[in-house]
Amino acid sequence: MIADRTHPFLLKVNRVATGEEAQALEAAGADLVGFHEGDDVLFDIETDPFWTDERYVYSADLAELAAGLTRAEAFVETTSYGLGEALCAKARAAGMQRIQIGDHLALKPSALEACRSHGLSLYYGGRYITAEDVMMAGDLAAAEWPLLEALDLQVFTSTADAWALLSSPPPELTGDIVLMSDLLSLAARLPLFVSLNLTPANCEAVLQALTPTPIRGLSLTLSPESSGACHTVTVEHAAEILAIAASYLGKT
Amino acid sequence: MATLNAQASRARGTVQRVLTKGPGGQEFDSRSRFLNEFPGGIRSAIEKNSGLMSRIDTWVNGEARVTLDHAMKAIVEAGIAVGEEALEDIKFDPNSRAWVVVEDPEDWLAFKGAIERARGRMNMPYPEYAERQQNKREREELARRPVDINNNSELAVFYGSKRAVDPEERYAAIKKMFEEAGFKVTAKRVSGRSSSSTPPHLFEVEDHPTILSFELHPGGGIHAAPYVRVKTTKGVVKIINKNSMPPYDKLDEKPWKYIEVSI
Repeated sequence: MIADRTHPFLLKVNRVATGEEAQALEAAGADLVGFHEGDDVLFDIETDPFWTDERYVYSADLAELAAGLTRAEAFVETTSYGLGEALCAKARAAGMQRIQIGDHLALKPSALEACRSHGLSLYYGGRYITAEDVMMAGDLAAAEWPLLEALDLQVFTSTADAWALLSSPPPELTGDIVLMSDLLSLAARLPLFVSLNLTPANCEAVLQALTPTPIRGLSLTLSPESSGACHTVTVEHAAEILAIAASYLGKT
Repeated sequence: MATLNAQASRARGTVQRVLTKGPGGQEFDSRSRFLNEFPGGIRSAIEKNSGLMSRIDTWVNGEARVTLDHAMKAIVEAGIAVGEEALEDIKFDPNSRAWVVVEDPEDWLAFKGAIERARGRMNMPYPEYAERQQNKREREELARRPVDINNNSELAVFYGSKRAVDPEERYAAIKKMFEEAGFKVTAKRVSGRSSSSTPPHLFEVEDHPTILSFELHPGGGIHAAPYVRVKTTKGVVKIINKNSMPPYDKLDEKPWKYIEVSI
């Protein structure tokens, strides 16, 4: 398959919590802004949520949260069991065209039908690949992804410095770990965002390596918490990283 | 108790019919049929209230008969039930503006709390809320089978009882655990890209809420020692034997957690 290198390289931010944040991150360079719908958490239905921070938003607020964006595209993040007609209707009413699924469970046919009827496509988040998952890239490429807009893949979340291992793997390990070429091969087969341990210090080096490639963009997840399955950044760091990235990419 | 339960069950059925049919729902053409719709405690209180009994006669004999929904409001007004909380397991849902059956009082308290905290953004009818609570409980129950990923002792079982990891034996044992818990696992594959003469064996768990896949390594690879790696939704768990020689080499890993067995 011939790699598509003509697409714009996008900067995606997950778990934006307020309209003001969204506008500030858009101004810093974000192209895609996600709001994490957490009705089940906020309504005390889900008592063991993945995140314990305060970044979940009410689905009733989606339209208001997205209203201030002028250039960036808003999307809503949810779970396989949160996806349904009610959320799809609210997403469309908020002007959104995409929903991100944050877990790995199979989607119900009724949920997919709701997406179709509202003209919504899906980002698939909630997946992470470790250095030892040498067969996973092939598995992801071969998997079925209904209504796929893009896969948002967390890369090497259980490695101390994910970018260092991806960009400069020790020669003695290259036969045993996932390599950059695996991710590029995956990106050539399906639309792919990658999430790394981005910092203001490594951001330019990451962009130099990933542009132009088939990879569609970089993804940042906002949280003050650390996670074994997800790279996270604070809002302040995200704004700093986005500004550097946008400048590098000629967006500002 | 059996009689009370039967009466409560009938009342639930009536409320559900009323909810289904809307304001023009079930009507009653006799006092006894009306009273039979209520749980015993509520019915006794109604029967002791002469004013209310008189109103019931008016309802059941009049041309404009009332539904149970309307009657319950009158019963609350008569002071038999105080406010919307009083009708045992039948409550007034402010979101659907109707009486609903409450199976679990804790769900109802959570529902009321959520409405209060959400300040106008919680308009889910109670029956949907209760269904989502039930679905959540089922997911939690599923997630704990065959082990709870938050319980290190349970996770350590995946390593088995032998000093080294025998991928064939471990695969068979772990597969059995998941199948007995109602989950399928994929066929075991040997990593095709390993420099080790003892490559890892890999398999996935299908549609488990928290456990994604396993890697069974007999030792001798980049980490030197045998290990069982469990990928969960929260991160990677590595189960290692602290008596392994050579010892497990952590390289630059930062898994969600290491679990050490001593065999």
